[in-house]
Amino acid sequence: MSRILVVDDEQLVRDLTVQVLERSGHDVVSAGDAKGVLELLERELVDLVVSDVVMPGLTGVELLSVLRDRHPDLPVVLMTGGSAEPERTTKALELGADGIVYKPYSHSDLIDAVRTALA
Amino acid sequence: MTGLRPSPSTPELNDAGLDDHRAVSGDERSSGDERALRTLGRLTRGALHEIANPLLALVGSAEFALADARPGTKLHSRLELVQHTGEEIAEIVRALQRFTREQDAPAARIGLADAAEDAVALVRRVSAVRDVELTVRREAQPEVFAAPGALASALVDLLLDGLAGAERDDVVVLVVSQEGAEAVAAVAGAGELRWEAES
Repeated sequence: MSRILVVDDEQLVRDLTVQVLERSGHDVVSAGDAKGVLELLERELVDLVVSDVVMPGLTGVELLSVLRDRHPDLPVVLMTGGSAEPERTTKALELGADGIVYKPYSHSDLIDAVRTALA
Repeated sequence: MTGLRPSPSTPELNDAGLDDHRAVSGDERSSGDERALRTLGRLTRGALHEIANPLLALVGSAEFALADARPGTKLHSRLELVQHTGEEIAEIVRALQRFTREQDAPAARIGLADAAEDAVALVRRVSAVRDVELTVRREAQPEVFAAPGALASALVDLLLDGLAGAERDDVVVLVVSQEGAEAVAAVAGAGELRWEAES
């Protein structure tokens, strides 16, 4: 079982993502924005971050950049609507995102991306 | 003197004032159409993005609620309907998202028959035509060097032209072949596309 941190500003999507990962056997904590992620990581250890891309404050890609500096070994999977933000997806891949999941994801898409990133 | 007539936009005719106004209007209309299509494309990208979150919440919540509902009850069958319908919409959104992502991808060596299969899958998903069959016939497996988005758009256009001329119970066949150094994609009655084949 891995400990996963989910970040999404849309509560319905965040709750859903948490449930999908919990039902696949993971221990999951969540945050509503990048600031919450950085605060949580100061006091807790996690094995993986699953983050939305479009969020108020730091975007998921900006969060990825910060995490690469502060926690270089922490894998990050990004979730995106994809089609409206190709340059962000490109940037995320350049920064070494460990996976990209396109919304609306199927449960198996998310679980597979998490499994690959944790491997 | 040949039997060919100059086009209305040639200098001789323009100097004579013939059809000049109509030619300019045609250009303006064409430019307006292009602008409208570009705007439509941008709006579609935005809409696909905006649909993603609520659709994910709807389908995912229905799936969880379905798991909690007792099979055989009205609630269970209604949730099944919501989940199934939502998943169908999600598949359409995913297909369009893949197509729009292809528009941003750099040129690469691509198997034409595979691209044709993808185009058929997309058109089947979004064309709203239920009584015409779409299929690909692979007479060869040529590869082309092309921008994936431009290639996909050309193939989708060709298929839509084929569908526009089809009647109920027709089969629209996208034939992929190679003629000498050229890769060819053709739909009977709609036309054909040719690229230099990669060797």
